[in-house]
Amino acid sequence: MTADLLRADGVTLSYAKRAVVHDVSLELPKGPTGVALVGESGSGKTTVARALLGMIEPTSGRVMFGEMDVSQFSRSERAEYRRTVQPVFQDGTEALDPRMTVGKALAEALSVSPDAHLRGAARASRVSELLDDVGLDGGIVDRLPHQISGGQRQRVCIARALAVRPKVLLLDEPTSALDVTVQAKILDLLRRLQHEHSLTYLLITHNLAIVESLCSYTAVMFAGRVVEQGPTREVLLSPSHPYTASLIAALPRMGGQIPTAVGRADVGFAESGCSFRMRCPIAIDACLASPELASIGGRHVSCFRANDVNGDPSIVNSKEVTP
Amino acid sequence: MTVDGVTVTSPLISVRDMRVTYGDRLVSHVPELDVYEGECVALVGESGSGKTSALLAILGLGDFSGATVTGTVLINGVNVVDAPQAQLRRVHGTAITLVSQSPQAALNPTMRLGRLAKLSLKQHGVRGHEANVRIADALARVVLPDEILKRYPHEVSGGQAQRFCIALAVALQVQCIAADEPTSALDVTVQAEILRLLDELRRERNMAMVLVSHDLALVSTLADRIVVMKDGAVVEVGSRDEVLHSPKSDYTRELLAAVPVLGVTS
Repeated sequence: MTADLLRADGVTLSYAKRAVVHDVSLELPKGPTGVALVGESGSGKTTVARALLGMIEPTSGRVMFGEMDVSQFSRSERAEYRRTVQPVFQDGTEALDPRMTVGKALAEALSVSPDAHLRGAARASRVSELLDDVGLDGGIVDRLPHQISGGQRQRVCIARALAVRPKVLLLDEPTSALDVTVQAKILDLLRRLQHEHSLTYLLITHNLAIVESLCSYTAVMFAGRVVEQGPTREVLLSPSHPYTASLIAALPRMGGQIPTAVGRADVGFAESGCSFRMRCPIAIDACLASPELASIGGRHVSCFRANDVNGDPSIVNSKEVTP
Repeated sequence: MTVDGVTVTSPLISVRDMRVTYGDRLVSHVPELDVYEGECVALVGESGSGKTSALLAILGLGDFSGATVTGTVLINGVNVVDAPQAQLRRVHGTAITLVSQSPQAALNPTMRLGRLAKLSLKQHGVRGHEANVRIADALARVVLPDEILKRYPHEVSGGQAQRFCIALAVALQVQCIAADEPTSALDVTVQAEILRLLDELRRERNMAMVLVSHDLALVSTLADRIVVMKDGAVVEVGSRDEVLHSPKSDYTRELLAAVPVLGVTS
């Protein structure tokens, strides 16, 4: 019925009765493709990703792996799902065992992969194939994580994720610890692997400028809710939600003006009605009620004034607040 | 000072042949750099380029991390490279102050912000009513409520803590802010607020700024001049437009090309 690999279906997550993620629905189609989750710290993007990885169980709603509900899995089904969906984190120093050589780290991943039966020369050739895939030299197998550069460590993390032949890679800020020239190379690598291995990426990032190169679909989160989702080019180049517009206005542009600050980020969010209304430059009385995530063209937006924003990020300048 | 009938202001900070070394290893070398009132000079480069070492040396703090600093850094006529502690402390309270990457780590966690602010001013001879007035004015300027003085550093957000650190610089009436990656730990919307604030202070009070950042796009919105560093050396110095639009060094070109731009898929 559906071609989705993985799907969040009305996922809500609460800690101590306090909902931190509200009714999020997100589809990860078969690769090569990518879905980005963007938004500020505390918006719930990592929590949604953890639910999709099966690391935490939703308080309500479901995570569907193909046609199956992840919470109903048997042990072996769960193992298969865990293999299919692999994470790559921000910091390779923390993700790798400091006492394990690169070769050992990859061998360990192979031992739980479909290639676990490989021995001797066949296993060594699979290891060199993985290193080759991420642009690393074979000589690196004897090195420990602290003996290699940050970019190389991130490549090792990607190779280790690929070792189990996954279909989905969760990329949680995969380049934010790296220098910009290294970031450009890792983005090139991720783009190539996405196509060569037909991978689906779930990218979590605060860096809107890297989203477009890996993800054709973007969901913007604010205060635990998706406020706008749709094709990346539409959402990021002609936003319909004032929060998306304010994120874009805040990006420093090469040689441009000082970026625009909209509202005050430290006023927090409203507990009832539209959660963004306290920071919103165009809020009206209607915003005391909660807007639904409604379909507008090819995207979904939860804003009573979406038609007024209508792709014009400069609307946020209409009531600029001095910092 | 007047030269050929033209008034020339002397630089606030004047760096000559400043070298930071660890043992035999030269980690940062700035041959020449002058910073004038109201000017924002940015040091950009990747990890290990020597930009933060250079900033700490300019503050006279290079030797605190075990490095050896040679050369001269004149601030208000004081060479901070070999100035005695007491003199250095005076320079820090009046001429230049550091705004760091992690504002919460910069603030003593055992003190409420009010006590911290008073201590900072007392250190520089401002007490009593005068201190209270300066603190209230500075908080108003960075748009923080007075009640924040009752809070401990962990009870405020990262953006508020950074505003508070900037408020201290305003209350001390320093001539220059040395900012080391002042917004890299903050969300992009909060970053925009802090950048605006720094830029406004520069314009209103003619404050100078030495800004260290790895983010060339960010730097390009704020800096008058840009110093590009790599492997401890200055590879290019120029006005913002020169560096962005007609870079002389290959490395600057490489850096510019690597910055991702929204709306342009590489």
